[in-house]
Amino acid sequence: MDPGQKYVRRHNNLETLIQLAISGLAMGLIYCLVAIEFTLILNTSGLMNFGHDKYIMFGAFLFGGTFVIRLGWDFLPSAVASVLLMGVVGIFIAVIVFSPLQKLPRVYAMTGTMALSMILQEATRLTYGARSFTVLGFLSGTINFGFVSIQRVYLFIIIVTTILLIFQNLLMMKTKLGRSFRAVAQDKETSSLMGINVNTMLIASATMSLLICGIIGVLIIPVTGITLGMSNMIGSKGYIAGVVGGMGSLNGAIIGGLVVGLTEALFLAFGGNPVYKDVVSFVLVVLFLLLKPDGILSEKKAAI
Amino acid sequence: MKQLNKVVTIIVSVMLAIAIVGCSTAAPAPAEPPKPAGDSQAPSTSGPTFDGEIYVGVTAGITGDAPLEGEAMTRAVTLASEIINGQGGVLGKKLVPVIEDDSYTPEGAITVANKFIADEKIVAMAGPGRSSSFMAISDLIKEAGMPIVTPATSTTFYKLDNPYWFRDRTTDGVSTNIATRFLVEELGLKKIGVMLTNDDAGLAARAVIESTLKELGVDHEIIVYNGGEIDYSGQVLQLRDAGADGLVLWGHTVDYAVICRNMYQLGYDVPTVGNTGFMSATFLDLVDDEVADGLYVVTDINLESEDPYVKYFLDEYSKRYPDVKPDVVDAIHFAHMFLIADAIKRAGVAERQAIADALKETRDVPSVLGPLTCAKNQDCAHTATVFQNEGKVAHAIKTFTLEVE
Repeated sequence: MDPGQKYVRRHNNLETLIQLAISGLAMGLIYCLVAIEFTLILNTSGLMNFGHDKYIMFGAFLFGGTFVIRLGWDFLPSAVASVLLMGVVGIFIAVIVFSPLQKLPRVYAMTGTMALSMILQEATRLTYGARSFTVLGFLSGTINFGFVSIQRVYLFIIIVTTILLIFQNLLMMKTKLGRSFRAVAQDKETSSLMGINVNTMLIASATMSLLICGIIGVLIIPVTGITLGMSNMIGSKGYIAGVVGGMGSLNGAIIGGLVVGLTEALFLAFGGNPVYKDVVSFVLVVLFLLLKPDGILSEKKAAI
Repeated sequence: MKQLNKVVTIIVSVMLAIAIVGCSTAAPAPAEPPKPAGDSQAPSTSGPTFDGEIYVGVTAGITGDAPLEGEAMTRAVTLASEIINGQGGVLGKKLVPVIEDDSYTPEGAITVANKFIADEKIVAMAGPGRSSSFMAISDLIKEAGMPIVTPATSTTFYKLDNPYWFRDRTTDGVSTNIATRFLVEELGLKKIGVMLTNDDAGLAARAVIESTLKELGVDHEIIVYNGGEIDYSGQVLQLRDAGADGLVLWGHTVDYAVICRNMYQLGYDVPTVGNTGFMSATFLDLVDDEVADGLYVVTDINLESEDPYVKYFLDEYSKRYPDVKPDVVDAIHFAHMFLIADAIKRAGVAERQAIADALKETRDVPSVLGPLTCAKNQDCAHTATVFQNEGKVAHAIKTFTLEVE
């Protein structure tokens, strides 16, 4: 039986279109952040971190499970603390895991990152239990703008991720650390010869990557709840965003994320069958791999 | 720097070691239940003596996307076994559940089923919890002649031509029929929206819901969604724009939480009915009270009933696990071991084929799910109750008892 049989094609409703566009933009920005966080590590170490979605999950558990529920902290200090703690975890992981892994053949390195993610997931389960939960009242509800109601969490995601992307861009373009990142991304050996400590850049990129994972984990809690599998699909979509935008390019990651998020939203807005929503993203990535494997903004063209 | 590296290495090695222990691929021990409040209240396991053991394989989703249900199954079968053994065991032997983790996936179920089938000591199985997992192991079970009692509810099993499965739960075929009729006949709704998960359970439910709606002559819109998504706003908005004034939601628990949250946030407040997932701890822990409030649930167990068996279950459960409130998932899995034990007793011998034959002859076996009688289609449970959530507490509205064919 065709699962596409009998679906609704009635999106001449302006409110619905706006709501879908907002949700598409918000999720697209989440995909941007996901693509950025694994691109940071990829650029400094050559490692494709296949376990990155589990760090997002872990950040959510830290925020909700440890700081809000167990310690009873308010939302903002909990968010700050959990994100900073994720940065510390990033340092540990960079020193203990990523640094040795980058010297191994690629297959072993990829396997290592996947094994680490499985360890992290099970460690989370053992620490917090199997129970899924949420943070009651956190970014819940809607805000009315005239005839349109927008979910509060999506507005928050848009604002926070936009600020974060601006900050990240300024960091990369205007600071010595950013210039060092870009140098290492372009050519590790030459950067090393020029006096840049490549290992330190790996640690710094892993720290930033996990800081971003912590932020993503906190932001998506009102959307997904806090579950062990909360970030599986986001991780995949982040990869798609990276391919579409241009693997290895931070600006490409931004463009790729927006393209993926808005494409999904527009597909639904114009009557697409929801069961094929994910297929749209995967078709997109296949098309790019076949026709434009460098992505929209290939690494060579991108400044960063 | 070297000193820092050394310290970091030690700390993270300890963390990894703890995690690795937790990730051991050896068969995981069942989740250790809290100690009962007083030894005298615990079911006696030291009284009777046994002249052997009978092993029943239990496939539970201890890891995966719904580990709470795996924990509930572990607690329930453990308690049931303790009660059975406290009453003398089965054929003078101790009933031993062998619990393995299938991660709530078809691949995991296949691995566990193969392991149980290869072990000649295991004479029957309970589980798995998901219809797709059961479909994956059906041929293995049939070939091995392994009798299995499953809580999975898909009506697709009828097409399997497999005489070794038995179900002690009301099927989706019955539940979806009741759910749909409830919205139309009890609540008088005129246009029904349907959201179904795109897997075996959802698609099998679709056939029943569509035929019921056609029979009732009610307009409807059906949307099939992929499970595991983080946002179903698009689907919810499509149903809202279609003018659906009631919703049948049939899928899995974690997705329910996302869908209902989306509905609440988008202000799409229509009567919504779903399956047991709406009452489960997994769902209720993921949503605010306002999101859960008002949802209708069709399930096969009424834990509020005055049935003495239900009261017995609640009483024994509270003694054994005083820190855990039992829900329908616990009750479902509690019934498995009693049904299997009863079949072994009637068979007179702990052998797979004999147990399968005895399960087929099950008649009015008392259980927390109501009297179990094996119908021609191998379903043994024939009651369903409609509940409504008040906040996060479900209250029974109406119970339906079906004719056994």
